[in-house]
Amino acid sequence: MATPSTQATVKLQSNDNVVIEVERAIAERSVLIKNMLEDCGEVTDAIPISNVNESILRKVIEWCEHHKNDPVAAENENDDSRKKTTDIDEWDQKFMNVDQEMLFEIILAANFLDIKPLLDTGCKTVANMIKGKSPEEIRKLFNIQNDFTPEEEEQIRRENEWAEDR
Amino acid sequence: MDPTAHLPVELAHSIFSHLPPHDLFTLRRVSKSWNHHLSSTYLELLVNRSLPFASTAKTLPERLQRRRNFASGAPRVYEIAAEGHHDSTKPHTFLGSKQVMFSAGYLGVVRNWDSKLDQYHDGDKHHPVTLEVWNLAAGGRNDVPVTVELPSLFPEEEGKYSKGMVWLFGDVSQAVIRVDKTADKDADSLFRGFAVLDLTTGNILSKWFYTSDSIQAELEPPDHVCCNGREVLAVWKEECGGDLEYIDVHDVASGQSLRWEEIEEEDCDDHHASALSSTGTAYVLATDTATGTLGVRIFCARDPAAPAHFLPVRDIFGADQTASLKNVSLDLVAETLYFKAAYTADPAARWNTRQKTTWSTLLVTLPAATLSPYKPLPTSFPTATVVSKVDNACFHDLTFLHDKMTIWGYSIPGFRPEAPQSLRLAQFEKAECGTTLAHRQVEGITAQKKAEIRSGDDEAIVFYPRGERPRRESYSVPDGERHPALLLDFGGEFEIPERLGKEVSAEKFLELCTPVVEEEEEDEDEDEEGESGQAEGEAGEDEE
Repeated sequence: MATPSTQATVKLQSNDNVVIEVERAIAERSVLIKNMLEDCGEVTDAIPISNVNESILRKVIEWCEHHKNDPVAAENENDDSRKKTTDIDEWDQKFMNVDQEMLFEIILAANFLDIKPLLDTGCKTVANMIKGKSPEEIRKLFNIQNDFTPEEEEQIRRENEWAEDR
Repeated sequence: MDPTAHLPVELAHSIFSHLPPHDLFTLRRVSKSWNHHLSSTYLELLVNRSLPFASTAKTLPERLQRRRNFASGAPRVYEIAAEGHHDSTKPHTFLGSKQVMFSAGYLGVVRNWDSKLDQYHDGDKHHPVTLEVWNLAAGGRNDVPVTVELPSLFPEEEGKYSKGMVWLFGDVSQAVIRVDKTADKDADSLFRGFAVLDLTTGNILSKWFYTSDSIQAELEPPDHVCCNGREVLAVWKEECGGDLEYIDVHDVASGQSLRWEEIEEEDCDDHHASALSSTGTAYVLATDTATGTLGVRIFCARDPAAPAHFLPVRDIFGADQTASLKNVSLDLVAETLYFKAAYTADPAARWNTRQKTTWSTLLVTLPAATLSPYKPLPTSFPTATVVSKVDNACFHDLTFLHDKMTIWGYSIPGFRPEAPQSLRLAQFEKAECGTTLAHRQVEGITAQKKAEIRSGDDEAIVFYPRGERPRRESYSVPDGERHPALLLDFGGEFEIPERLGKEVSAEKFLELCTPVVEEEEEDEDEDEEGESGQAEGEAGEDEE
């Protein structure tokens, strides 16, 4: 492994070739970038973030800046810290108050950059959008066409009947 | 934007994992894509049904990757079908009956084995009985199947009809094969042979056998077979309800007998269990006839001269002499012993099943090393954890997940045949009292027609009995969330055997429940409709 660098900032290059300079500590919220920097040591060139465009990258950086002082979960704590809740703090709720396309792009970027807390927040946001809604409401929400025949839909309803509260 | 269309499957599942369990049932009705994500119709291939027993995925990313593999429609078993024997575009079907096992990344398929009769006719040259073992774990050492033609294992021995069983031990990459030969279908065994197969090379490591002359007593097939890579431990009882139990230990490398022991014991139908640690310590549940006490025999499998201990289960559970314990089981997972028993303070409740009693399911966990034949037994044990306490009910069929202390089970209120039909699924973690996962009135389950639950690392599978909607359902915990993430609906194609004791392993259970699918040449769709319709018809007739 290379010698740890004391470099204060790093450059990230979006897939539309925009270079954004950010504090190293902020960039290292991404496990992908953190590992890359640890392996390569001093990096003067911009790091290509090939799957993320400028607007999404800036959005992700904004999230990382806000959460830069959050404790980093240990590897084996990830499951526990992520489970069993759809609670999202107020700032994150506002941050995720974007259109669906951007929301999904943020989730994809968080997945690519390996930022688990952001990925979780994104997934929880979508889960909250879904929670408690009827199939018809979900179709309307996500503009999904109902491709079941009435018979097929009834068949699924019957199959799941056992789980309904009665 | 449809998340199931715009996000990779593992992210879609991650979203679903944050939802309350019962929302997932509703979500299946959103669209075919959502139904697909939540009902895994792509798992309907016959062989895939055993994959939920996989115990290779230990972390969330691994589990998500496994789900992605499933979702891609191209799990490795599919490749097996393509390369080995069948057109991958068609359902994986077999000639005649078969036996399918799964253990720690290994999949075993016995072809031409009559599962119902637990036998095969090895004189049929056209359908030789073969055992195929596939290593499904990523990075496995053998990417091609190990194949053994079972009749050829003991070719010199006479006997027209053969019976047998295969036990797969994926943890140590070995399988133990038992072959009995008889002169006639219903005749007593003339010959009983055992062979140990190296799953990585396909080599038979050792063989040994008994003949009708050498077997002093008529023996039932072994109740339990354990293997730790060095020794094979078989425990069996004398035929016809005798009061002798036999412990038989063989050396894997040489096939030499290391130990043959007869134990007088009282009838203990509701507790059969044995385990063999990696260091060669054997644990066998047995009843001491002198005192009538149920306990654990602890001995060195390899050294008959070594001391043996007998540890009463009452001591383990901290139960006093007047209490009643039943359904005692022991499991050894990763060198940790798990003792489970149903407990009530009323000693009469064990035998009076109509009596209203509160049964508690107790669990005690111990490192295997603390129970050694070479050390004094502990004088105290951890306080038993009450994993369930159900009024007038018993919590049935607890199973263990390998990487966390998670238990699934169900209870039926009351033991009376006319008891209300109800299913309770619960999951317990780390010895905490359980949280009910689901508690639903379910048709088709009564105290007599029980559901069966088996689990792998991250999924518990409920096999419903034949009834109005026989089916199998899989409850998944990909990130520790308690929720059903997959529902595997197989229609009425399989039947639960009439009596499945606790001694039946997950592999054996799966084998018994696996439907027989006859190979047809006709169009695939027509085949499926025909088989499904026929199965439903048969189920209905049987119900009547």
